[in-house]
Amino acid sequence: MAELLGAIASWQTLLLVLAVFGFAPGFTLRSIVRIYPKDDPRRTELLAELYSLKRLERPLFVAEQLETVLFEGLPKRIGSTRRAVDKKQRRKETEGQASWHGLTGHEMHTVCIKEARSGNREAMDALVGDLTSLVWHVARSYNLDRNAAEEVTQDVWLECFGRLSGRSEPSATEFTAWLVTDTRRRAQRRQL
Amino acid sequence: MRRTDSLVQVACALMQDPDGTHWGYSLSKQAEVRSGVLYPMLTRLLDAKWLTDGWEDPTTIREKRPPRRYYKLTDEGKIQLGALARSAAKEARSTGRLGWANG
Repeated sequence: MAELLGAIASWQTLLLVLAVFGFAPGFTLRSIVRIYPKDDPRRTELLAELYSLKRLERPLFVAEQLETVLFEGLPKRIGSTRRAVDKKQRRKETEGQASWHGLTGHEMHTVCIKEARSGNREAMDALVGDLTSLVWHVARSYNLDRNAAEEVTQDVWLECFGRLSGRSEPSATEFTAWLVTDTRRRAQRRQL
Repeated sequence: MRRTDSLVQVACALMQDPDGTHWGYSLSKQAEVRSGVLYPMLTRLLDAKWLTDGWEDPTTIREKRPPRRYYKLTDEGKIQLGALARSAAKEARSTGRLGWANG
C-alpha cells in the first residue's frame, strides 16, 4: 500500500501527468468533458474553443475547464443519471401493476380482452395463462394424447386471438365460449 | 435572475458589442469571470431567452478546427442586460466620487 502511494506520488508520475497535460491538452479535455451527459452541447463547445486558442494557451484553458466540468458537468451528469433511473423504475412499476392486477375470473378476462384488442402482449399472456388449463382439459376429454392436445391448444389460441381483433369486443363469457367451441371442433376433427 | 457581481461584469462585456457574436472563452477573459462561473451563467441566460446560441458556419473557418458555439443578445437581453450595465456604471461613478471625497 505504502509502495503504491509512493509510486503515485513520485516525481516520475508527476512529470508524466504534466507531460500528458501539457502536450496533449486535447486528449485531456476530451476525457474530462465526458463527465457531461451525452447530448450536452458543452462537450463540443469546449473542444472547439480549445482548438481556436494558441497552442501555448491550451494547457491553461484545460486547467480552467476542469473547474467548469466539476461544477457544471458533474451535477448535470448526476441529474441525468437520476432521471434515467427514475424513468426505469416507473416503467417497472407500471409493468408490475397491470390494469388487471388484483382482478380474477370474468372481471380479469374483460379487462384483458380489452387490452389484448389494442395489442397488449402482456394481456394476451395473462389470458393464456388463465384459460389454457380449460382449453387443455376440454381437448384431453376427447381422448387426445399430450402432443395432439398441445397442438389443438396452440391452434385454438391463434384462432381466438385472430378473432379478437375483429370489429366488436366480445364479453368474457363470449370469449370463453369461443375457446371451448373451437377446442371441441378441433378435437373432434382430430379424433376421426 | 439574481444580480451578482459576475453577472454585472458579463453584462458590461456583452453590451460593449450588443449586436455582435460572442464566444464563451473570450467573453470570460473580457469580463474577467472564471469559466466555471461563466458557462453555467450562459446556460441560465439562454434559458431566460436573453441570449440565443448557434454554431459557427464550418465553411467560413480557414484553420483546421471544429466550429465554435456563439452567443448573441436577444432584444429582451439587450433591454435587461443593458439596464444592468448602465446601473452598474452609474453606481461605479457615484462610489468613485465618494471614495475620492472621503480620501
